[in-house]
Amino acid sequence: MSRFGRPCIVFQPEAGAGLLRGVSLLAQAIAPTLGPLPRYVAAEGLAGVTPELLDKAGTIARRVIELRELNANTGAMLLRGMLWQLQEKVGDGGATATVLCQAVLQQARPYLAAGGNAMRLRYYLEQELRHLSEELDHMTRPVSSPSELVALANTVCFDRELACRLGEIFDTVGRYGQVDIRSGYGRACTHDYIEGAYWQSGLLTRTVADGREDGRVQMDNVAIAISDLVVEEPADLVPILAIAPQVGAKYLLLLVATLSERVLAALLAAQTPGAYRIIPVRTPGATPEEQLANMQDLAVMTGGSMTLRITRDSLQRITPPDLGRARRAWADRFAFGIIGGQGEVRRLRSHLANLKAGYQKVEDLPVKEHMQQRIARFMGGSAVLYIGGTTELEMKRKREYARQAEKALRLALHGGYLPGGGTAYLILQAHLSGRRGTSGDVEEQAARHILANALEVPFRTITRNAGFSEHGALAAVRRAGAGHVFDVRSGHVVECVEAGILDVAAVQREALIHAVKTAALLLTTDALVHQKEPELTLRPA
Amino acid sequence: MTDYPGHELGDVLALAPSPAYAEDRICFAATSQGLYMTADGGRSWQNVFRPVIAGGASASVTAVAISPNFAEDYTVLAGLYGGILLSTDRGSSWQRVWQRNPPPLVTDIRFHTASGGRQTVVAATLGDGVFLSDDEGCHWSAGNFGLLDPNVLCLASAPLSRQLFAGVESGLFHSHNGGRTWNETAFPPDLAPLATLAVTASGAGEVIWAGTEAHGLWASDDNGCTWNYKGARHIQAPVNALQSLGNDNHTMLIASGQALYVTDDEGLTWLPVAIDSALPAGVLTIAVAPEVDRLEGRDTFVGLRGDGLRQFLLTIVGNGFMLA
Repeated sequence: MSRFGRPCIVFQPEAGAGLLRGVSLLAQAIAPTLGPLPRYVAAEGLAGVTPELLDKAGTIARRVIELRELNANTGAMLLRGMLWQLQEKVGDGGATATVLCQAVLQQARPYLAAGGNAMRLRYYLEQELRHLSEELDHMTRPVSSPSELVALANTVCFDRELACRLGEIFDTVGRYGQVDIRSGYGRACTHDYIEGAYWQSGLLTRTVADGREDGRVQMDNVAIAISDLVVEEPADLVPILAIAPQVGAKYLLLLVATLSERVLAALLAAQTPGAYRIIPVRTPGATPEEQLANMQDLAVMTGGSMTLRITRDSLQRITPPDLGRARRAWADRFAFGIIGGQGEVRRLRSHLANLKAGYQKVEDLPVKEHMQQRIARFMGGSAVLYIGGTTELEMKRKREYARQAEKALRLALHGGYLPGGGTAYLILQAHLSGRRGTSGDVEEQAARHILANALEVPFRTITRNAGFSEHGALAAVRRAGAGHVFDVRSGHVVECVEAGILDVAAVQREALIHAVKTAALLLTTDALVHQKEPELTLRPA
Repeated sequence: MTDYPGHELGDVLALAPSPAYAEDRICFAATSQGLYMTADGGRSWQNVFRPVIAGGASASVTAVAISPNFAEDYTVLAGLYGGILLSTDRGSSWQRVWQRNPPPLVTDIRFHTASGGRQTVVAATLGDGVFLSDDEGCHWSAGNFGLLDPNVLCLASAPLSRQLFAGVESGLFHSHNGGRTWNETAFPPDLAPLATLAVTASGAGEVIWAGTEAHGLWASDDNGCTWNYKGARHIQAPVNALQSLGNDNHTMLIASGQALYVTDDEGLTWLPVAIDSALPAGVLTIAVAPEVDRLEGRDTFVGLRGDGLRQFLLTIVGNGFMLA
């Protein structure tokens, strides 16, 4: 039988039941990873490769390539797509979204089987979702202390030492700050701060590196020529050799796309002891757009002007006012940095305000990330977190946790935090229950009932995963009142903020939205089209 | 009026009386002729450090700060062009603890208690921003996250909120974590640059006072969100120095041009301080020493441009103040 046979169309009720089976199968695999005491999912890779131990819903879902049963496979793949999208957007919340989505589907299926209208139910689910989202916004508090940052990091990485470091780093660098996560050399994690701004683009020749072991050139009193030119003739270099001494600089940092070997040779021949030196570095940026953006930033930061290939400029046209200035700079094989750019502060403020406005508007994730990096360069420094560990596997896992926590902290600094451990959803449930009797519309009532029941599922799952009785814990939390949570580490009901059991508001909001929207979509999917025939179908001989 | 040490001190740029002035009568003066010290309440001044530049001429000491635990740790820090000096023996010997290339001008040094009780020393520079030391000045690191303007002219420490403020050439920044991260306040950039800053506190909250070089005195009682003009019309010259006279937000002594003014109603009205002799040159800095005797008054040191240092006794006369 060929893989792609005649299309096979599956209708209700098999379609709906199959979708639910697929979602439930994936949810069963993901649900144990929810909460501060998660269990792992081992995913087999290529033959001979050690299986991966996973605890992030998005990654687990990505490892599920295909389910054997076609109807279930469609449900699982739709959930998988949603989880990956969620992980890309907020870095976390996948397990919460999975159990919420499954709960909504499970609650809604009997209602639809009894003759309920799927489209009207979907409409009311989405209406209620809007109210719940607004309610979450009201509950959100801004991050105001380093201890909250530590608590939030801990909910993602479950590692107190790492959480403390990330808390201190983000308390220092702020919401836009640049944090590089690298492998360390010892068992413990360490961190360091780098003064000024730097770009991942290094020296065009190592010959200028003063013979230092680390291949780094340290400069002070620097003039900067900002360009993306390809310089091929040594004669093009002559005017610029005369300009830097005119502005009283000791070094000229020359940014160009490339230099020909003849030009490099001429440049090195022109470096005379005691005179000022020219340090050539590659214009930073992988694409022409990135290069232009980086050059704009450098021009604002240092008060220089750009000399561009696209406008047919050349080094010969550079005049002293075109040169940027910085108090210090450095360059090595991989990067170069500027400290104390002498750009005009008002122009810098306005440029930064434009970048921040752009960051808020842009939706595309890689573009957003690039804008955040650009903003970070104006913040006066960046942090480097060195991840230590005893084995490569441990370091790899810690690095991954640190990256997720970094994303979570950035989101929390932008959008605040909520009570953690599923408590925020329990407060929403109480809010929803209060509105249950206010409508005469059956579908609206059903939507509220379904959501209210689903909203306690994350709490139940977290408690169950930690080995406690979910019913007892839920009753205890309800007795204690709003803002309390069952601390599964200690087994006691505690006040969320005091105990530092917090969740990033954006993650909780996006998890809820993604879960309910995906469930609503699955509920209104009436027929499934398969391009290959179900395995169980008997074909006539 | 006492008249020491006279004209030879040149510009007096900063003054730092000892926190235990009542007992030790020590005050340091950063001047264009070096660093001076008195140990007898201003009756005599000794040069304790004279930086020398190429050619043998004296260089300025531009900032001085005295440890809040001076009575126990004897620590004094002085800033100059290109570095910071530390003395841990009441100014007898000095070591250079920090320097940078190219050399920045150190404009202010403060001992600051950050939230959590962490003690930090903060140095402001022209060109390189702010530097921090967590070990009483022995080691320094940059603290410029978010500080968009590296030309820092003055610093102030808030006693209640434990915030740190930095007046820069183009505005005012504040830090909630002891200078590691900075955020801009809503101080209007058109009013910058700032020449001096002070934060006073009372039960009603804190007031940030900002003296500008060209637009008089401004104050904010809502953490820098809104600013009100506090200078009377006759205060036209740059406001170079601010000094709180009590543990409240009401009483403030300022130096503007060749005169001193005082307010006891949170800056609504300003009265020129009666001085029994005219100040011949512009006032650059003032320091009111901690109280010695309430009946006698408080020692007030006034640093002048090019004309050394004057010392007065600040006394309360009726509803006003008098320097004699």
